[in-house]
Parts: sequence; structure tokens; C-alpha cells
Amino acid sequence: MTRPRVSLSLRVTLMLVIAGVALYVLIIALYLTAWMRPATERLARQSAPVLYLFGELSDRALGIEEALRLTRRPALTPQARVQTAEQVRSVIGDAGDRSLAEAFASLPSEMRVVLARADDRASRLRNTLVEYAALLELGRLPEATARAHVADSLRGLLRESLASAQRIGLEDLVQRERALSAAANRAVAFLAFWVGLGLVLLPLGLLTVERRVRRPLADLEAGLSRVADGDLNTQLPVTRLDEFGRVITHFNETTRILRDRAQEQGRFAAAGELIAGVAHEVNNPLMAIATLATARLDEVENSEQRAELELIHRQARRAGKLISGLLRFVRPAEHHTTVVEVNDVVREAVDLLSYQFGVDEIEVVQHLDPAILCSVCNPGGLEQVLVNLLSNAIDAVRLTKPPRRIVVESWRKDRTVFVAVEDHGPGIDPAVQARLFRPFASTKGQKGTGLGLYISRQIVREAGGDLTVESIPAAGARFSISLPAALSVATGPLQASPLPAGRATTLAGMDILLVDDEESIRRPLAKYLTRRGATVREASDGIEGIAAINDRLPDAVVADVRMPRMDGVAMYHALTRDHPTACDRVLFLSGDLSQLADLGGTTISAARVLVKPIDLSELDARIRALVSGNSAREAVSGLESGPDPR
Amino acid sequence: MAKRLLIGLSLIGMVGCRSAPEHTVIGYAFSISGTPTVQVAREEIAEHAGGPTIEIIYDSVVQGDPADVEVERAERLAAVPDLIAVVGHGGSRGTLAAAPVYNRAQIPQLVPIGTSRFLKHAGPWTFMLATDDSTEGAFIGEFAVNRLGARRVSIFFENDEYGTGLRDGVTAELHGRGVPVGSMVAVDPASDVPTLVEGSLLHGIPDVVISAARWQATGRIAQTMRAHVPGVQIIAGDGAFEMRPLVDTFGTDADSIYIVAFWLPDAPGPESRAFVARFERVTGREAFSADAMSHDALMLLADAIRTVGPSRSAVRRYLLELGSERPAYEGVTGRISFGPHRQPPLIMTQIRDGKARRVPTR
Repeated sequence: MTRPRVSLSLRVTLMLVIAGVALYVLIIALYLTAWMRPATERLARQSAPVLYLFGELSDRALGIEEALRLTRRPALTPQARVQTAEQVRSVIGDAGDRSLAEAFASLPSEMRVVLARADDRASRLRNTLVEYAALLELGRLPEATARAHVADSLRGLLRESLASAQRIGLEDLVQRERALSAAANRAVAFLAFWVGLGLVLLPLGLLTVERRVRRPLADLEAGLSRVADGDLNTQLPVTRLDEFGRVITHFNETTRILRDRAQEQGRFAAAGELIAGVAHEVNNPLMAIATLATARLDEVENSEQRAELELIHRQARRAGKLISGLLRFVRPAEHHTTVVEVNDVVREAVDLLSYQFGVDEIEVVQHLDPAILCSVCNPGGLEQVLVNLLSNAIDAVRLTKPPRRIVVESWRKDRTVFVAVEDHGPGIDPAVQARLFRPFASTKGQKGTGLGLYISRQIVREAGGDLTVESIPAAGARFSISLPAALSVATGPLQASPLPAGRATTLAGMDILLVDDEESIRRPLAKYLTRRGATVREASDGIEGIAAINDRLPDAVVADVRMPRMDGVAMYHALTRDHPTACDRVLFLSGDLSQLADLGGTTISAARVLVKPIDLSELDARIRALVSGNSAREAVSGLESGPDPR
Repeated sequence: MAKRLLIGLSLIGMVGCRSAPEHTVIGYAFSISGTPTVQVAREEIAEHAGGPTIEIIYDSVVQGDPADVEVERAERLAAVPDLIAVVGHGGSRGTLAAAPVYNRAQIPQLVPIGTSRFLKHAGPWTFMLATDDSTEGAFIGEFAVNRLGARRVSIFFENDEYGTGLRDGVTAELHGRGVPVGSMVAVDPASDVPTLVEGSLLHGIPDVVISAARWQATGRIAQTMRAHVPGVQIIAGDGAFEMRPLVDTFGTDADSIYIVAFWLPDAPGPESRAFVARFERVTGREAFSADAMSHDALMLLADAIRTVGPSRSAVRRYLLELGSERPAYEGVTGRISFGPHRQPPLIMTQIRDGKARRVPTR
């Protein structure tokens, strides 16, 4: 197995990638906005005043040339002189153009020096011409002529300055043009470099994202998909010690735990099946013992012997009840909700663990609300929750010395029914308490699955309630179940529906067929029923039972569910098809009520099932009730359809 | 013996390790008030004990204001070792020409009397001590109308940044007050001013003449105008405020000319009085507006160097912080700061008996 590579965390890697992209964009943007743009703008800004000044100086030079030409024109009359003066002033224009000064202000020093010199000479020449115009107007012609000569001589200087300025200006413009061109070339080179760099870095970035993000995500998704399909052996390779590495490690660990738990659950289920089988096998002897003891009671006069037989009967009943509870608990829970009498479920749960309480010297104090507390929930689920809480309480108080005590309370407040299981063990560590209801949170190490409380809370919450805990370290823990209260008394489908009140008060005269492969059960039952005045026939399996029914339709059929060759349910189905009248006369005996569910497709009501070991007086009553009910139905049916053809 | 030698060497080492005061230089390029101001400033700076030694280098090799001359001067000063800041230059054109040199070299430039509004945009290292030409022009225009009752005005201006700037400021103010400007005549140092004045009179007689020119042209304008238009009032900008040559050259013709100043020796305040006394003692003459302005510039830079150390950028920050993060500098000419709301002083004076007298403006 390859060792995972130590690399930068995913967060840092992604941040580096994002930072790299941002830096890349920023550098280009900064270069273009903070360097290139100001540089080009500066070049443009500096070129504009130069060009403007050259234009202005050229215009002024042209104006001056024109003015000088005017000075050469003879002006003989005063009017002509004034006119010439006006023309001179007009062509040379106003001095001190503000925009010219503004343009000067933005020039670099070298250019300013050259242009200022030309400007000074142009101004001097212009002022000389203004003086010429003034002298002309004043009629001081010789002075005006002299001033015109001065202006002529200054023209050469101005031309020289302008030429010099033009040369420098052109050089400057050429330099600017070169600088602009160089700047453009630099910009192109820069952008080419960065685009090239981007093209190199882009695949690297994509590769990084592919290797560090997309591929691990795809692996994880595939792994999760396999787990969802039930492959709990799925393990993903951890190639890096980054966030994905940690996620995959957690995934592997979770999958491993799930696999272990599944195996454990499988073992539990197998154990449950084993217990169910054993319970069934034990139920039959218990039934035989209880039946024989009851049967013998009628024959024994000696009070001591009667007491012993009654003790045998009671102990057999007790054992039977325990086994019933065990069977109910280990069978897969049926997910149905019904109105449940909560106190009954509490008592059954306590009974189920009564042996453990005795062994560990635990006193169970029950403060159950005497009022009937009903709630709508899954009774099996609620029992599972209570057994789990009681088991945890047993484990907790075991850590203390006797006397040990567990208190179970129930009460109702407003529209909520509460059940609390309180132990006086060492309490729960606050750190553990915070994660107590999470999956696989166990305080029992390898002994516990870590799922009990988690599943318990789920069951209670599914019923619209909640499961909470209060703990005082070193003083114990108190788990409280809250359930929504129901308004009516429990009438679950598994509980026997009251049969119609029987008109028959004894079994005398009834024809009863007993179908059971266990002779040790069948014989005492037959003996008991015969003694009650019934005519009893016996069959050892379903085939014999059908034959006996075909021979003569009995008033009642008491059939075991599990038998060789043809079991009770198969016999029932055969009767449904071939002898529908007989179907209503069948009662079943079963070591495990859930067997009926296992057989599937049956329409047999739970009310027709008597769970072994059965009390013989109850059997007596159920047969009578069945026969009376059938008689009443048949009477009504007879009235509606006329006399029975038999 | 060895122990004594060791102690001795240690002492020598300690003495040797003590850093000598740092040598700093303030460049001075203001020929309008040259040597006398430098002498006074040197004396005053020498009285401060501690801190870096501050030397003032006065570049007076070339006199004048042409742009090329001032650029050369700026380049010479910028190359001086330990130069921290510069005071100068003289006129607006020369100062504007020199400003790029200092801004490129990142040397704080403190302009004592330059008023061109373009100086505000010359660069981040250039600071104007005086007000700008638009404010001064408005001040002159208001005075002409309110105090002298001007109805028709002629303007003579020197055709450079100083003259055109002041002309525009005055024109804007007069235009706002509805007073017509009859003539606007450009002059230069070589101009035949009498002819230009006479020529302008052919186009109208003004009751107030405003001169945005230096003292020579202003004196000549006043002389010619008064010869032709008795009673005409002459107002000149600060560029003409060079009392000694003006009065010496034009004598009584200079009398009654109104001239704008930034400071007068009769200004109240201990700094002003102390400066007047010191200036007279050191130079033997009365101090004028340009002397006080350039003195303030030098002493402000010296204070900045002493306060923030011999660093050009720190001195620039110091100047920017005046009036906001740190108190305004108490100078001879008043409180100095460079914030947007600063109001440098403007005083209207009139030459009487060869002296500039303060004139109320309202």
C-alpha cells in the first residue's frame, strides 16, 4: 500500500491557486492602468502643449512678418498712418495669450527654456511693432522708421530662435514618438510574456484542481455509491494527507464500523433466531408440564400434592411468560403503531429483565401512574427502548455496591406521557453526555455497540416524542421518555379481540379435534378436554387433521402451527380451499406468535392464536367462545339462506 | 599599565563614536533679496543650539530671471551635496522653469514671492509662500474701484507669467464690477514705455492705470502718465515693490504710486519687530516685503529641518502638515501654512516721501 503523501492542505492549495490567478490579473491590470496608461497619457499631455506652442509661435511669426511688410508700405497721410497702425496692431494680435502661458507651465524645463527664448524674442519684436504703430499714430515718423528697422533686425533673431526651437521641438517629438513606440513594444512584450505565462500556468492550475479536487471527489462519490449499494467492504486509497485525505480516512473508518456493526447485527439476528427456536422447543415441554400439572389437579385429593402441582403449574407458566417475552424481543420489530398502554409495556420490559435484577441484587422500584397511560407508538419499539434503558441502568448500578436500586416512573402531564428510568450509578461524564445519543458513542468499550441510545432516541422521536438524559456525576443518571398521549385504551392487532359472549358454559357435548405432533402435549390436552365433557379426537399433523375433518366436521379444531408433513397454517389454507366452514372453527397453538407472520400470506387473525404454554382454563374459555360465536353466525346465516341441506 | 591603556582606548573609542552633527544645506536662489537676507538668516540660524548644522548656499552667480538662466541655477543647486530644500526663485517665469528640476530631484522648493497660479500645479515639491495672481488681481481691482473710484482703467503688463496672470486677475475683477478696461499694453524691460503710454492715450484717457510690471516699467509708466494725465492714479502689483531702486530712479514721480506688498516693517507682532531690528542691525537698511518673505521661507525650512531631521521627504511632509497636523508656522509675515484655506497677507501701500505707507483698503 502506498504511503499517503504529505502535501499542502487543500485549503492552502486552493487559496494559492486563487491568489495566483488574482495576482496574475492584478499584475496585468496594474501594468496597464498604473504604468502604461499614465505613461502614454503623460507623453500625450506633454506633446500637446509643444505642438500648441509651435503652432502659436508660427502664427505669431506670420503675423509679425505681415506687420513688418506693412511697415515697408509708405503711409503719407495721417489717416493712412492711423490705418497702418491699426493694421499692424491687428495682425500682431494681443499679447499675453493665457493659454500660451498655460502651455508653457506644463513644459519640461529644457523645452521651456528654448521656447521661452523664442517667446521672449517674439514678444520683444511684437512690442517693437506696437511702439512703431504708436509712433506712427503720434506722427513721429523718423522714430517710427527707426523702430521698423529695429524690428527688421530682430526678425533674424526671432527666425533663429524659432528654427532652434523647431529643431529641438521636432527632436522632442521624435523622442516622444520613439518613447511611445518603445512603450507600446514593451507593453506588447509584457502582455506576450504574461499571456505565455498564463498559458503555461493554466494547465498547471487545471491539473492541480483535477488532482486535488475533482479526482478525489469522484473517488469519494464512487465509494459512497458502492456503500449505498451495500458493499460495506469499500475502502478508498488515501493518497494525500490533506482535507480529502482526512475525509477519505473518515469514510474508510465509517465504512469499517458499519461493516463490523452489520456483522454484529447479523450475529444478533442469528442469536435471536436461535433463541426463538430454543424457546419454541422449550415451550412445548413447558406446555406439557403445565397441562399435565393442571390435569392432575383434578385427580389429586391430597392437599400437599395439590400444592406441589399448583407450584409446578405456576413455575411452568412463569417460565413460559419469560420465554414469550424473549421471543417478542428478539423477533424483528414490526413497524406499526398502535395505541399502547405504556405501563403494560413497562411491566413487560421489567419482567423480561427480572432475572438480571435478581442476579445483580437490584431492587426495581416502580412508581407507575395508576391511571391508564396510553400513547400511540410501536409497542415493540417502546419495549426495546425500555429494555435498553434498563440494561444500561443495570450496567451502571453494577459499578456500585449493593444495595442497588433502579427507579422506573411513569406519569402524564397535559398531553404527554412520560416514562423515566433512573439509576444510582456513577453518572455520566459531561464530555460523554454531549455525544451520548450519537451513533457509536459507547461508554462500555467493546461490550457496547454504541447504537442503543441512538436507536432508542430514533424510535421515540419517530413516535413524536423524545428521549433525554439528566446526569449528576457520582449520583446517577435519569433517562426520560416523553410520548404524545393517546385518548383511547390500547386495542392492538396482536391483542386478542374479545370474541362474542358465548352461550355455551361448558365443553360438554362439543366435538373437538386436537392436531399436534407432540404427543406429550396432545394427550394431556385431550385428557383435560375429555374430562370437561368434550368428545376429543386426535391427529398428529395436518394431513391427519384434514382427514378427521372430512370424516366429521368438529365444533372446534385446536391445531399446532409447527408440525411435520403438514403444519397448521398449511392445513388451514387447505381447509379454506376445500372446507371453508371448518376454517372458522380452527384455533392455533403456537410457541411463537410471530411464526404466523413468517408464514406469509396468511389471513389468520391473531385472535385465533393461543401462545404456548397456555393456561388450560383459558383454552377452555376460548374454545367455548369460538363455538358460541360460530353457532351465532351460522344461526344468522341459516335464517338468511334457509335450512341446512345436511 | 595595560589596564590604563585599555581604559584610554575605550574613552577614545567612545568619543570617536559620538556622531557629529549632520550637515545640511538650504539652497537660496532669490536675487531680489539676496545677500542681506542670507546674512540675517545665517545669524538667526546660528543662534539655535543643537540639531543638524544648517548651511545656506546662495547661488548668485548669474543674476536675472530668464527661464534658461533659472534652469541652470536650479540644476547647480540640485547637485549640491546635503541639499535639503531650496528657497526661490525670483519671478514667476524663472520659478516655473526651475520647478521641474526640483520636482524631478524631489527637493522641496519654497517660492517666496512668485504669484503665478501655475505654480500651484508645478509639482508636489513646490510650495508658494505668497498668494496667487488671481487673488492679488482681485485685490487690486477691488481697491481701484472701491477706494479710487475707477471708471476707466488702462492696464500695462509685462508679457510673462507674472504680468499676464496679474492682468487676468485684475481684468476679471473689473469686469465683474462693470468697469471698462480701455487699453491693455504689453511691455518688456527693453520697451519704449513712454511711446507705448502715449500711444495708449490716443485710444482713451484712463483715470486709473494698473501696472502688472516690474519697478522699471512701472516707474516709467507713472512718469509718462502723470506728464500727460495729471491726477491719474497708478496702482502696481507686488513685482514693482523694490522701493530703493524705484524711489532712487524716479524720485518724486514715484510718489503716490500704490503698490501691493506682502508685509511692511510696521507690522505688529514680536517676530516682525525682532526681524526689523535684526535686519537693520545686520544690513544697515530697512527691510522690505521681499526681504521678510524670503526670510520667512529660510527660517521655516530651518525649523522644518530641526524638527523632522535632514530629510527632503520629511521636510515636505512637515510643510504639508502645517496648519493641520501641526500648528501653522509663526513667521515675520504672519502665520504660514499650505492648506487649501490659507490666506497669505496682502497689503496696499502708497509711496509717500520715498517710503511705502500702509493704506486702508476698506
